[in-house]
Amino acid sequence: MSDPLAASQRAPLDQETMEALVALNERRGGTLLPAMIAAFVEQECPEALADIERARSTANAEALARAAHKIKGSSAALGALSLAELCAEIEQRGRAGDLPGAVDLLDLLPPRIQAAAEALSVYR
Amino acid sequence: MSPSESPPRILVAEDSTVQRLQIAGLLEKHGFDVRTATDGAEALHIIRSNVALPDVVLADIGMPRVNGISLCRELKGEQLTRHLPVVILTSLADERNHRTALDAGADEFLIKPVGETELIVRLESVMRLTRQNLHDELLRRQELYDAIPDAVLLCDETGHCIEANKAATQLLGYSREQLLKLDGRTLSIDGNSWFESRQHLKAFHSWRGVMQLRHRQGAAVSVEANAVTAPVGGRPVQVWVLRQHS
Repeated sequence: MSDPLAASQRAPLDQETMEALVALNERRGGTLLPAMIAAFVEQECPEALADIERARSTANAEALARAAHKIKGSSAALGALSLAELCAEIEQRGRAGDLPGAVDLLDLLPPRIQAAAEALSVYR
Repeated sequence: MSPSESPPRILVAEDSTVQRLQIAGLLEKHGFDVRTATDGAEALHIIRSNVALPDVVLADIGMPRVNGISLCRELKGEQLTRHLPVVILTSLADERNHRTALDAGADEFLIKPVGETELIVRLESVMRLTRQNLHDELLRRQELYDAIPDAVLLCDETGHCIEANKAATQLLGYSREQLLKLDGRTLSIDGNSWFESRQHLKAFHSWRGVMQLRHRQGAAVSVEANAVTAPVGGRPVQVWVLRQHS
């Protein structure tokens, strides 16, 4: 995996994934991508961030890993690969019981989500 | 899929809305008839309350209430759904769960993120294998039935023939295909004794006696009948064993 800290230098969205999603979206009458983005930005990210905050305050590395895992899958599905990589690293550290290591990365998460959400807003 | 075939039915159980929408979109693009569930409990509810089972279930491993592993275990533990192929979606980080998924009876697991081609190819492969296994099982079962020297007829709750062995076709003069279109009542010369035996079967789950059946060419055939009601695939089936009465 590439360095999740350096990944912020990359474009927030993977072009190939977006082209495939746009094509799929057109087949579905233009409703698929807006629904996916809305679920991601308005539902899944806020929920996972709240779970992460709870896990941090209760020092629960496993719960932190689970919450990061949720964003990881959906961000990868939406082509937000640098966000997915960051979540994968948080998840991995959490699963390994490395709570301080996972927490170290948490400050990167909101801006990376924000960047992905802004880039995705073009497709809504 | 050829145009004459009905689209393969798939049930997708995935708690993430984003991923559920994406997977459903991809599958519909490839001609699948897609139903979705937000977790394993909803998937079980859909399967148990629906007459038409899906051809394949695609379930995420980590879901609230009932996860993919438990869903798989439930389906594989029930007579009616044990043949239903289950594909588990997992991730590299869940490596320790791959073995658990297979132990739970999963037919396949796919590691997320799954590419479009891989998703379709693996699903089609699992469905093809299941069809082949079912076909082989039906053939084996038919060979076993045909090896029984007595005539055997299986009838559903309404008395309709759903299975017949070779000895039954020889006894009654019909082909197996013809027998499967008949009602047990049609075969009986004496409608009353047929009705009484069915009533007895319903009440006591077994019946034994002599019956007059009609050969295809019209002659009466006197048989000693030994019948029981047994659950097959979750439904009561009447098993009739018939021996020519001299």
